[in-house]
Amino acid sequence: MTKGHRLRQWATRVCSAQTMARLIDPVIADLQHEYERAKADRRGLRAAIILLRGYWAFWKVFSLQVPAVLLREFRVSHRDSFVRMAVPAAIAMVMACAALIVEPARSIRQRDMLGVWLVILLLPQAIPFSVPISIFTGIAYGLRRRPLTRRVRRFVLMLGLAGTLVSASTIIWVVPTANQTFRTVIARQVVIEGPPEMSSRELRDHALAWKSRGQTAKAGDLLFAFHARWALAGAALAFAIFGLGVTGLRLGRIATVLVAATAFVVYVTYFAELGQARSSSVFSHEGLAVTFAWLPNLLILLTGLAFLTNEPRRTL
Amino acid sequence: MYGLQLVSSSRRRLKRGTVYVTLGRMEDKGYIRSRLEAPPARTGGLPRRLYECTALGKRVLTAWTRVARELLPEFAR
Repeated sequence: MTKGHRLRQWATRVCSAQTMARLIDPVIADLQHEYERAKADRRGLRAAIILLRGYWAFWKVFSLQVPAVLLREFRVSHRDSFVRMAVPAAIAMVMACAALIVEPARSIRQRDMLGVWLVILLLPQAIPFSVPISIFTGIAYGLRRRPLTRRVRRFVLMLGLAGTLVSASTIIWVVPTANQTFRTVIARQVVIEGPPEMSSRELRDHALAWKSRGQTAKAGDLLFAFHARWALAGAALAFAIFGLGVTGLRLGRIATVLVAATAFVVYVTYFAELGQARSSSVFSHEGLAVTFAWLPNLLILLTGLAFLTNEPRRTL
Repeated sequence: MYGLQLVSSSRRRLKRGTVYVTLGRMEDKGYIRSRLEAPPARTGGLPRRLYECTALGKRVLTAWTRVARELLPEFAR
């Protein structure tokens, strides 16, 4: 079997014939030719390096370029669905962000310090909640009563993965810095970092340190915060699949909006309530912290899959 | 030329991970055309894609080069 054969087989399931011919096949052909030439010259080390570089190029093309190409193909082939998705998704994003930052923004007004840039500092913490609900609304509304072809499913999967990537990047790099800057500006002095301002590594290190000192409640607090971050990052994918499942229910416009609003309220309330009540030693057991953090995602994902499984075959 | 030949002759200005996207877009615009070479007989595997410039592509390149040459002194000023 030639090198890259399995990768190509796998990529064929995800990519269209045009994407395969234009992007994937040339990368794999390069890998195969270079590798065979090095092998024929009996340069074993060189062949191994070529193989690694070839695989790296494949994954780079696949992860960075293929989603963009799929998005473009979907936009061309499902032009009206794309518009129907983009508008509700944008509205949901704006409304969710506004709902989440209105309370902390009010505290700025109380201190007579309302400024646009301070509100901007509040935006990053709203994004991990807004992205999944925006993706869900876009899919559930835009693809409503449309046949769920293979291309549509592929596109939804890519959208979910892209949303997860955006949420994860925001949570890892933007949220801790933005939160700490906001607190420092409000307090007008340097403030010690709390759990939301810590990096993921700091959170985990602190949690394990508290646990080793027998402070299980504090350890549980931080462990839950740590796992909740990753669960929030993964929510985009779970909500994308849930959205796909909801399209199969053939709901009306108002019902779709109601489902989206309910999902948003329940999801945010779950994390808000557990965030306030988590100072208990229960979450010092890492398994429980993981379970409670990922439970909403799991339920949403399973519900979406159940809807998809019950969908009539004619729409497949 | 093959994609990989373009990468190596560009002195690393073109990357393996992006060259085929660029070539695809250029082909869409009609600046280049491509064809598949014969598949390798002995080893098996995929045939490589060969790219060549079209007449339109050459004209566009000439025009761009001329514009860049004329504008460069203006920007440098």
